[in-house]
Amino acid sequence: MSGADRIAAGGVTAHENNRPPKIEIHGIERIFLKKNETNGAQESFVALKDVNLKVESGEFVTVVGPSGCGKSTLLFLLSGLASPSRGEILINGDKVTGPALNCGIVLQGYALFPWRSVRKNIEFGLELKSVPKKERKEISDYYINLVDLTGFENHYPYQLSGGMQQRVAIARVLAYDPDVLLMDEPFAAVDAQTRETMQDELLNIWEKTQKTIVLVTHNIEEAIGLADRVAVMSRNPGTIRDVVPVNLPRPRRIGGVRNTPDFQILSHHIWELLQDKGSRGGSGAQSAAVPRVDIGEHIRDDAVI
Amino acid sequence: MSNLAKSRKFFSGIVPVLAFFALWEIGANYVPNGLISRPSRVFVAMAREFAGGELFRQTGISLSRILLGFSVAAVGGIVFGFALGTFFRRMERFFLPFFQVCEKLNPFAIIPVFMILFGVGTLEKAAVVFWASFWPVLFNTQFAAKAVDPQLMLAARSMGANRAELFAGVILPYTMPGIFTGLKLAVRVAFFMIIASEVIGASTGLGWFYVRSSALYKLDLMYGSILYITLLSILANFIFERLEKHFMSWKEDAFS
Ligand SMILES: Nc1ncnc2c1ncn2[C@@H]1O[C@H](COP(=O)(O)OP(=O)(O)O)[C@@H](O)[C@H]1O
Ligand SMILES: [Mg+2]
Repeated sequence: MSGADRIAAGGVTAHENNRPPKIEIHGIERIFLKKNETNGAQESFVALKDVNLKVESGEFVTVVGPSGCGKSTLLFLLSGLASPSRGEILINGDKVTGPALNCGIVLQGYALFPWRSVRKNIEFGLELKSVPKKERKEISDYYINLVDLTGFENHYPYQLSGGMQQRVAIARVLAYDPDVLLMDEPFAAVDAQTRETMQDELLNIWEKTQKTIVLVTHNIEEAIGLADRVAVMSRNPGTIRDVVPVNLPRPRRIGGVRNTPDFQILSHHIWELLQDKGSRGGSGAQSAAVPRVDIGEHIRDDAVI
Repeated sequence: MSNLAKSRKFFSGIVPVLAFFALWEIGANYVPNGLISRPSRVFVAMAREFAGGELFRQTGISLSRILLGFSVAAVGGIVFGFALGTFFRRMERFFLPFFQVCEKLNPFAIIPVFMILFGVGTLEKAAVVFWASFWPVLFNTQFAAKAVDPQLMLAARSMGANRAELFAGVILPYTMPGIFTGLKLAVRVAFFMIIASEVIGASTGLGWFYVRSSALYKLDLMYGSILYITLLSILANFIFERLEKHFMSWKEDAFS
């Protein structure tokens, strides 16, 4: 399906065979109780308000926004690690009520178990599922190979570079085979060169495994380079300002699209949305006035400038 | 570590010890008689006591008291530490201040109290050992359990871990280094306290053997007992170091 179709559908993808969306986020609100710094009184803080989003099966959606706008909170709600104060989230049409194995999350920071080797980290979820040892080994072998860590099976996390640790974290989630993959700023802590390699690896894995991915980042280039659609968030209260379709060719490598005019235009558009200068997308999350960025097509003047 | 490096480490460690004994042996010639003994005579005297079975018997008695007091302290400290550090954290503000006062109580001062409470004997000695070694285990376990990385808990929960699996899979391994810190401290104070309690009032045990040697003016045995008790406590510590190394192989050694 092309990005143009998505635009035609008003930013929300209507899947070919009319299956329900993989993920549906309906009117989410998340309130935290915080202690006031000065008088110590309990205050409620609205971290997320009126968040709506639908993600199709096999789609790659990125969420970009300034720090503190509630990106991590949103992923926590999606993963079932926390529950919304209002609204509901459906995955495969079922309401999310707690952590479920059809949904895997790669947390900000790597969250590897320091006392477990690479292999044992990757097998953690399988152990919880009581997968027999022999089968566990076959599965971990496969994912160790997939994330290019062969030869490091018996290393402990402290013996690995940041990039390698991140690959273990990804393999650990992939190993128990969730169909939705949530990733919280997975490449924020690795150097630029490693980051690009890993982004391409992730695209490669996504193409191979057909997973639905929601990836959070504060990097515009990363958001565009990876995504089918970019959800742009704003702060105070945290909400989705706009969902921008990315119609860059697939299969895609970041280096191959980064310098195209379409990429630059998208990048500028999202940058403006983040600066709070772009056109408002109405009360809902999806914008009616998204820029058309089909390759070779002219860009509507009013959309981006 | 290579074998060569290992033997080098061993020899550089043993040289000062040998030098100490040599100095002692020579220095004894220049000290008035009846103040110190000399190592050669100390070893012979101790060997005789071992051969006669007396030292073995007293060692067995002291070690069994330590074992009793220490193992109850270790199990109790770990259980209480986990309880207060994890699932019953709300209890912490009730118990912790009280426990901290208990810890500050001079353990030597408690010996006469325990003598009255438990009567002079094995139970009393074990109770003294328990009292002194319980706190380091408790506090170190609780401190470590409280510090469990929340990200790791989230990661495990996201993969469907229930409470028992969180405990066995995350909290326990995360707390292991802290538990070992506590156990190693506890073993040290256990050896201090057993000797102290056996010196004050006992008719058996290594502490008693030691004071009896000095009372009978058997200098060889008195100095020998000191060396022997030190050696035992070093051995106990060594065992825990090895255990720690065995369980903690995943830990980065900051100074290697
Ligand atoms: N457990 C919590 N208790 C109170 N406030 C929280 C909690 N988690 C997040 N917040 C607040 O919610 C806002 C959004 O946080 P977060 O989702 O981590 O933002 P982001 O990931 O976009 O940087 C922040 O202002 C943060 O301080
Ligand atoms: Mg975050």
